[in-house]
Amino acid sequence: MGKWIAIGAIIIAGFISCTTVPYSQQDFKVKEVVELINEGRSERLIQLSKLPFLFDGEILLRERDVATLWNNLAESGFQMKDVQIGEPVPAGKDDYPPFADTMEVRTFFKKYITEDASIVKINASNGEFYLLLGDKLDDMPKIIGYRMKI
Amino acid sequence: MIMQNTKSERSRQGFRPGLFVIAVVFTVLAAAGLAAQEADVVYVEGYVDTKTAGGDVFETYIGDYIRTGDSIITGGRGYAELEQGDSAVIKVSPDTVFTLQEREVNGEKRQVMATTAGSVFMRFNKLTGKEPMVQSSSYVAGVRGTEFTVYSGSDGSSMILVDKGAVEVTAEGESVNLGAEQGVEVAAGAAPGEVFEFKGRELDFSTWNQQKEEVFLENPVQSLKRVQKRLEGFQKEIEMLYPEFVKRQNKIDVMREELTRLREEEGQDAMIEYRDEFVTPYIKESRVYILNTRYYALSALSLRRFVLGSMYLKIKTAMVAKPDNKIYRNFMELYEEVTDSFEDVVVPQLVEADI
Repeated sequence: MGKWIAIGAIIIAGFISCTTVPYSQQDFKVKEVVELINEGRSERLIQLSKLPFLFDGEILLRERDVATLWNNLAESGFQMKDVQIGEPVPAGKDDYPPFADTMEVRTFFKKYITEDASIVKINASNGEFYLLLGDKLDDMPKIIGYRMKI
Repeated sequence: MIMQNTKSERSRQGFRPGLFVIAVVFTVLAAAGLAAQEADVVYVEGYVDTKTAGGDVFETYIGDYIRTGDSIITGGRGYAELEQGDSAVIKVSPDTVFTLQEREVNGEKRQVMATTAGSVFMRFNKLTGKEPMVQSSSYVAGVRGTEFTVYSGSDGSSMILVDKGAVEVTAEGESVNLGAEQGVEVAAGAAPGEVFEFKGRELDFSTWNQQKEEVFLENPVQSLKRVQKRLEGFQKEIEMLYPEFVKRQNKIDVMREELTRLREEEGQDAMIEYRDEFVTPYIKESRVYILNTRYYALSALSLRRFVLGSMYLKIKTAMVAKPDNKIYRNFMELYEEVTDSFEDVVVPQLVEADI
């Protein structure tokens, strides 16, 4: 009896953890975004990016700047190496610190992230990275922000 | 295509109640009987966004209008044409940020048409002597002519090409006069360069901007220093205006309380008399401090967002594989210095709606 309760509890806990963020932002989808970045697939990343976009502490409002971001990273052969992708957690207005503690970034989190947004920490051997995700396009998460702590 | 925020219905809250600075500006404008000037959007191609003074960002369509404080932001294939009645035509090219601002000069409110990035053609059909000022990332120009194009490059430098009429270009306290088929380049934080003739020369924004981009990548620290100088110019103006701005804000607050007291204790007539004799003239007189502090703060924000931010993005992503590179380190060190100073001087003048 106790064994079945434990199994049930594990299943429920798993279910609850899966429902904290939308399907399009779950860990296997985040892994796909990380692969897109590491493979330098800038066109797809541009499609998935949403304006306004937060890059480190800078708010990007122009398509051109978001295209520069992903194209430059692809051209430089950038990869997040030996990644350990954390659990995506819902993001709210107070989750700005990994990006920057400035009035602009605090306001970005207050004004521009969607209700279903999530934030994911990615540890890599060449730095610490954060993806800010929200909404979806073709079952993939839209990218609202990217933080590169190198 | 990048995903856009869209709004089927335009939210035009304009100045947000509760934000004191904005409220004071609104009061001043209302007291002075001055409505925000507008431009109608008469043609749109590709993706064009409007960022309103109230802080909303939405897709722009034919039939929309922009008001003072609003920006038009065009995408890579975006293009927009605006008209101000039959007096002016404004053509906003792709990858451009164009903003309608206002400031006070010699006791008069003047509209400022600012191109922080990209390229804008302007034609004034009638010259009334009250044409707006034209601003790029590196200069301010007085319009004496009818047709010209403003280029604002990715390294913070700008160029103006006059097709017809005349334009006076001022930067760092120096001015040059341009006639028809003449142009001038102005580096960020520098005085205007040599005037040149462009008749018969092929000049297009993308080629010119590509050259600016190359100059920036060759010596990013030097380019950043120039932008720093330009930003410091705005910050210096804010620091000069702000103490008087605060003093006047406080006095206006006291006057408001007095208005309430008069209405409650001595009646409507006493309140109106006090308002007309003291409050309205004082608010009009204070306009220069309020409008111009906001003008310099928003100009600095625009430069930080579209020039400095773009520079940071390019260097960070292009040199991400070599974080120990000396140029990268020097650039990032100076970037921190510039943004810290921006945070100290400009940010206190901004409100959430500006972001």
